[in-house]
Amino acid sequence: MEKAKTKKNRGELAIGAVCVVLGILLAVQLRSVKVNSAADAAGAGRLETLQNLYNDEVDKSEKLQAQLDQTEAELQTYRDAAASGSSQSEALKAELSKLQMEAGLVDVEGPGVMVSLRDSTVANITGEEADYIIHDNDLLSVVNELRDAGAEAISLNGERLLATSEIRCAGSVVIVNGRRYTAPFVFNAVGDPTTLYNALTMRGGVVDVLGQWKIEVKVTASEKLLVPKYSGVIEFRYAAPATAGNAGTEEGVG
Amino acid sequence: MIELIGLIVGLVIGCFLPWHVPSHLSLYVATGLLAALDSALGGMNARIKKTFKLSIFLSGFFGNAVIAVFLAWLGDKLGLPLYLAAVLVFGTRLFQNFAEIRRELLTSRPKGAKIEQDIVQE
Repeated sequence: MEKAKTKKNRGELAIGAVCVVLGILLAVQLRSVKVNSAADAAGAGRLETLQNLYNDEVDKSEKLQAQLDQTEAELQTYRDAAASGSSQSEALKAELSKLQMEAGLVDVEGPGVMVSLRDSTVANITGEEADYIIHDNDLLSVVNELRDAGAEAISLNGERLLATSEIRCAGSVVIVNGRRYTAPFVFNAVGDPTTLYNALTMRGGVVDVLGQWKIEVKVTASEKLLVPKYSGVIEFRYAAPATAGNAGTEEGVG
Repeated sequence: MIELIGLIVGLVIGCFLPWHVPSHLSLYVATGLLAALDSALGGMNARIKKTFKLSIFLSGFFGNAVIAVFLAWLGDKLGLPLYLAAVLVFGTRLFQNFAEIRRELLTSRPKGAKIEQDIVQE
């Protein structure tokens, strides 16, 4: 009788303990599900907030662009007024327009080639989907080839490429000069049309390599192409003209 | 009675525990939880029927939970929602156990009470 009783007590204790464990698990799980779903909701809310912020910034940038255009027009009138005086200011004006041309701040036109790239449309047989679409390094190799062949001015989808311009994949888009572009990509390059054309289409060249993935690359030589000016602001926050005294410090830093 | 007390104590402890389950492990914990819940109800059922055995109860409680979690994990690896098997089986058994407990409690007591009542009347 005594033995049966202790056995029963132990059984009760075990059930109690198991129920405690069950309760702990249940509470923890319930709380976790609540926390996790709250986190999901917060993610969605954040996306919306970021989208709104982005839209605001785009509006702001458009307004600033309009302001910039107006200011540039004013500046041009002042320059013309100043240049109408002496021969010295005439020379300054010539120098200025030459520098503007070099810096990519004026629209230029001339003979050259137009290169358009379009994502591959063939069926995926190698399994790697990324092989069939255009990436930043494909665009960069085209730019490099164009520069190598002596292109004097290059634009990508109407965006002038400067020494500071970036071409970078960001998800499904490519960012050039801080703006987003998607395929098809169109380069306008001013230079010697024959050289540019041959440089791109040579055996083993850029067009050949991209063609292996059936990425459509079309190179058209043209007698007159327009390369638009750079529409942003070039800001030097760190670079300043070197002074003679500091010329030797480069070795120390390197 | 002891089941209810244990459950409440566990819930209270669980509410004050600092950590929580990361979302990718949530499924495993939920599946194991269902198995454990079934075992607890099964133990209660056995106790009421007076066929309770500690070893069977404990092995069932932990064994079922482990197998359920294993199934969920295996399903994850195979790309087949195998945890549904555990959910289905333990869900069904949960109802069965509950039905048996209900029947046991509802049929035995009133009968006894009625007999006693009859005796008193005589």
